[in-house]
Amino acid sequence: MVHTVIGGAIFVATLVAIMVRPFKLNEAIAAAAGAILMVVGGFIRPDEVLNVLAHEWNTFGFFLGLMVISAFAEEAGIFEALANAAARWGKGNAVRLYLAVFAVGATISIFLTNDATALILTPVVYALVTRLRLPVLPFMFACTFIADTASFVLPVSNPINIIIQNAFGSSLGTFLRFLLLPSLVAIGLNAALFLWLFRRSLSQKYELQQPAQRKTHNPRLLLVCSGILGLIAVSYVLGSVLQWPLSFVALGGAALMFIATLSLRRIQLLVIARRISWSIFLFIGGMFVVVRAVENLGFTAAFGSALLRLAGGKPFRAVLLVAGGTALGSNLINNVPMSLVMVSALHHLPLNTPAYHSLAFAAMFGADLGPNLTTVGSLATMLWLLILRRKGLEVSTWQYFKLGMIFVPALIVIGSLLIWKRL
Amino acid sequence: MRILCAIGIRRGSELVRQVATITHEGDELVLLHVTDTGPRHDVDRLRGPLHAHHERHVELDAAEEDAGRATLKDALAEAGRLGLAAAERLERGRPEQVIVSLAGELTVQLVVLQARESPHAHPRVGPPSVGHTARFVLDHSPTTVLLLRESSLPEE
Repeated sequence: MVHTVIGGAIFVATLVAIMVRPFKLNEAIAAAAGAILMVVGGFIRPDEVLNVLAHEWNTFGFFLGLMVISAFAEEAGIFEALANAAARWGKGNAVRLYLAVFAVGATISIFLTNDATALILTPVVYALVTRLRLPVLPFMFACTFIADTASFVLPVSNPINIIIQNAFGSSLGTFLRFLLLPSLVAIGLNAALFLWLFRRSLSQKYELQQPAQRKTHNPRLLLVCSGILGLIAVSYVLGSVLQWPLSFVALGGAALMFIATLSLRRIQLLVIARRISWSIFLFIGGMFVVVRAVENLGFTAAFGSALLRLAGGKPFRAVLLVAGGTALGSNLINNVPMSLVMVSALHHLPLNTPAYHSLAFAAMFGADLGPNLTTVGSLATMLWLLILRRKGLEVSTWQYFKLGMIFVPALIVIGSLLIWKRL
Repeated sequence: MRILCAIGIRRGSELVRQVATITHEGDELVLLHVTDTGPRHDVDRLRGPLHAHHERHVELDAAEEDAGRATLKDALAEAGRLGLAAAERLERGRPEQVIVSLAGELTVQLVVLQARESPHAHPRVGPPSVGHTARFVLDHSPTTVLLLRESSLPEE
C-alpha cells in the first residue's frame, strides 16, 4: 500500500512540476527526475527502462529527423519564401494575407508538424507583418492556433500522433477515415472564427514592399530544398500507406537536406545543432519511463476502467470522454504525458479493434487540439489576453472567454461525433 | 514649446496634422516611435523552455526598426509639409515607460498621443476607449498630456 502511494506521489509530483515549473524548472528535468525516482523506488526495473526506451526508437528517430529537416528548411529560407508568397497573394488586403497565413501554417503543420509552424513560421510572419505595419498579434494568434488545429490531418502532422500510433498501430486509411473530416472541420472553423474575431484589426490595406532577404540567401538552395521537402511530403504519405517506420522517412529526408545544403554552401553545424530541442528527448524519454512505472502500479488500468464505467457502455459517450479528457489534461499538463497515460489506459480495456481505434483516435484528437483549449483558462491564455489587452486589440476578456468556451468544447463535441460516426 | 508626439505604427501623419492645429511659431516637435518589446517577450514565455530558442533576433530587430523608421519618415514628411520644426526618435522598450521617461528627460511641455493604437475597434467613450499605454502616460507623465481620440484624428 505504502509502495503504491509513494509511486503515485512521484507521478503526481512529476506532473505538477511540469505544469507549475517551480523555479523555472525545465520540463525535461522534471520528467527525467520523475523517471529516476521511479527507478530508485523500484517501480520500474532498469532493464525495463531500456526496453521501454528501445521500443520507442521510431518516435525518437522521427523527432530527430523532423527537427533537422525543419532546421535546414529554415536555413534555406523556405519559411520566408512562403511568407513572402502569402504577402504577394494578399495583394495589399490584410484579410487575404490572413487567409494566406492560415493556409501556409496549415500546410507546414500537415507536412512538417505543428512545431515547425508554431516555432519557425511564427517569427517569420512576425517580421513580415511588422514590415507591412499591420497589427502583429492576430497573425501570431493565427500561427499558434493553426499549428495545433491542422495537426491531425496526417500521422506526421504532430509527433503526438506518432507516439499514439506507435502504441496501437493503424494504417493511413484508418487514420484518415477517423480524423480527416474532423481535421477539415476544425481548420475551417478556426479560420472562420479568427477572421470574425479580428475583422476590425484586419480591415486595413498594406503596401507590398520588396521582401527583406537574408545575406545568406541562396536561391538555388531554396529551390533544391523545396524540392526535397516535396519529396519528403510524398514519402510521408507513401510511408504511412505502406506502414514504414516514419523515422526512416524523417531521417532519410534530414540526410538529403544535409547533403543538398552541404553541396551548395558551407554548413555551420553548430547553428543547425542549436536549432534542435535536445531537451525534448529527455522529456519524452522520462515520461515514457514514468508512465510505464504507474502502469506497473495498475493506475492506468484503473483509470481506463473508470473511463469505461463513466461511458456507461455508450460508444459516443466513451469517444467524447476520451477526446475531452485528453484535451483537458493536455491543457493542464502537457499533451505528451496526457496521451501516454491515455494510451496506457486504453490498452487495458476489453474492446474490439474498431472500438479501440475510435478511442485511440479520440485521444489523438484531444491531445492535438488540447493545447488550443488553453482558451478556457490556462496560464498561456491569460498571457495572451494580457498581450491582447495591452496591444489594444478589439477582443475583451469576456468576449474571448465566451468564444473560447463555445468554440473549443464545440469542436471537441463535433470531432467526437465525426469519429464516433466512423465506428 | 517642445512637444513630444508619441506615434503608433500607423496614423503618425494624422497625429502630426492634428498637433499642427495647436502649435505656434517656434514650437518644436519630437516625433517618437517606440518599438514595443512586449509581444516578443511574451511569446518567448509562452513557448517555454522545452523548445529550442532559435528565433532570429537579427531579422526581427531589423523588421521592427524598418517599420519604425518608415512610420517616423511619414510623420516627419508631414511635419515638413506643414512647416513644423521636428526631430525624430526611434526607441525600443515598453512604450508607456519610454514615453514617460523621455518626457522628463527632454523636458517637454506637452505629450501628445492617441487614446488607442486601434481606436476604431473600441467605444469612443468610456473606460475601454483609453488603452493601456495612454492610461499609463496619463497617470505618470511629468507634464501635460493631450490625448487624441479617434473622432479628433482626421481620416487618412
